[in-house]
Amino acid sequence: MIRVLVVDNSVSFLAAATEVILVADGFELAGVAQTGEDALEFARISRPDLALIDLNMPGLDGHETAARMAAESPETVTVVMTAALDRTSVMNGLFDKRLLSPAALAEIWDRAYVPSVTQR
Amino acid sequence: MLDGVGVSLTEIASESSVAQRVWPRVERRDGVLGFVLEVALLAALYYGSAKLGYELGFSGPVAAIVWLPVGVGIAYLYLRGLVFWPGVLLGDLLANDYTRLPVGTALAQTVGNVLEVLLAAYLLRRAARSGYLLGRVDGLVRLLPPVALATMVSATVGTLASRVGGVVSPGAFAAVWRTWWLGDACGALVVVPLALAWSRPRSRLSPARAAEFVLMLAVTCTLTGIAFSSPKALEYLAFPGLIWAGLRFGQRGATLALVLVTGVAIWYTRNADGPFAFHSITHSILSTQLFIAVATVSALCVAAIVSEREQFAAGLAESRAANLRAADSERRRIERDLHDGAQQRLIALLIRLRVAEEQIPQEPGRAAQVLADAETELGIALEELRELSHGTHPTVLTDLGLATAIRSIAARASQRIHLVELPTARVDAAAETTAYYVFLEAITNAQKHAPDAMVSVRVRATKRALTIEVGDDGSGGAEETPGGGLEGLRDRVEAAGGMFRLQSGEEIGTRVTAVLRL
Repeated sequence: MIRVLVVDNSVSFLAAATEVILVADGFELAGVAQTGEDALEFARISRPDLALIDLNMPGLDGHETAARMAAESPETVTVVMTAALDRTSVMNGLFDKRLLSPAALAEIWDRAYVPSVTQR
Repeated sequence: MLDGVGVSLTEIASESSVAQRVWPRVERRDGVLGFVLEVALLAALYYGSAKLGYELGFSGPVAAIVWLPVGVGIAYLYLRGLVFWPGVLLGDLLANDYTRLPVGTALAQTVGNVLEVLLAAYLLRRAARSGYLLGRVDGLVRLLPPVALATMVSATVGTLASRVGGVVSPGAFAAVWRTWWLGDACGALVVVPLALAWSRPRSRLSPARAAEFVLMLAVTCTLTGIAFSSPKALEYLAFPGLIWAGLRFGQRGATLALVLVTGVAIWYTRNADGPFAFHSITHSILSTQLFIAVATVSALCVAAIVSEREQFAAGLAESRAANLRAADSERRRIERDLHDGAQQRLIALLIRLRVAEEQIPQEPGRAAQVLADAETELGIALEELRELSHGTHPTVLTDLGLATAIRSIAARASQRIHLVELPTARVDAAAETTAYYVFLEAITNAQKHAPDAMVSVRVRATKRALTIEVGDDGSGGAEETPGGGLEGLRDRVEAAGGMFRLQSGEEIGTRVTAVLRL
């Protein structure tokens, strides 16, 4: 099973993402965090396989959190998500969080992240 | 906890007037030596200006066309402090012509002159408490009565002493009193504004402006010269120069041009030239004095109006900037609320619906649960959007007024809200809107930081102001942070020309007060 950590300050999104992970085959929820700081601490302890991290958070933002997590927990694949997706963020390899689904989760994992703006 | 309303409003009012009370500022040199030096300096200036008056023929045996020392004395005491009055006494004693006057008369005149200068300086300092005297037309209106009143003291004392000393005949008493009074008043009107205007700090003129300044002075001088060297009634020729000075160079230009005009006018009149050279000296002097008084007041008015216009323009620019800041901070707030609130919920909803879609064939029961959750989420998102749109377009407010808008918010708030007082009639729409935002922001803050606290709301409308006070009995700790809601609120209130105050502490809870002009 692939263990997933979801990091977002929106409780609504965390709940929806949890729903997706619960129904996605081969994935299980490792945990959720509302701030980058909490996420880093969680990752140090439980070493998830995949971390979905929202870009726009108070305190540490998504990029910063992902960079530190990659340094501290190299075995965790980090993916930064945003809803405010534009051309620049696509080129920077951000994931459009509106597209999160069991299939998208599998695709992210298989290809270690594919930008997916064309799939909508 | 709203008991202190009256007190807090008075405090706000007094705070705002403190800033205006910086002028005149007195810097005294320390020590006895400094004091003695200043007294000597004033005495020398006073004596010098008296001698200058005599030299230029400004002064007669008992009264002058323009008695400059009175202006010098008033200006010095006004700017540096009343304590330097011995300088006036000394200067006046030195300037007296003891060969032509009985000693008693001369001394009595000196007493009158010192009293005059002291009284004028005292009254002007009082008048200046509510603002710079030359900067506004109402300042000028406050400047004139002290000058007129104080100079009457000297005219009365001086003329009486001359009469008692036998220098003035009974028939000449009225004419001498009038000449004395107008002469002293003109002296004060010419010198005091000059000193006031030129003692204020100001940025340097550009070379082009400096050249224009010199040209203006030359033209004013020439025109006045032409006017007063011809026996024809051309005295109005002095006014274009004075208006130029006032319009382009404000108080500094106007006061300096006035000195030139006055000098030229007196010079020619004393040499029996110009439009005021009548057979009767008394008549000549009176006409010249009236000319000087009218020219002075007119030129100072032009300069004051120009200065008022500049202040108004600066105030407008500042308020426009504050408006922009308020709009900007409001825009950021809406952006933030949209991003953190409704947008995230809608994304979550989208994802849940997609999950449900996939679940229907396999696990219809589970899909139904996911759909129910999605429904709840959608309801919350709608409610958030509704609140947000209430924040930006308060239709209840525009249709039904502030009191109803506040009641409707209070009715559906999760917080306990006590409406202590609400206005019974509609007031100015802009003030209502601003007060509404004060209420909304204060309630939002209380919900965030003191959800269990009791909130009291008091809104009072008088003829002149709408006052809103929202307080809670929480544990305080509210502060204005850059870009935060409270700072945005202050910007909004101040842009509307109102006063804003935040008080927050463990003892008093948090209280937001805004006073909006009607």
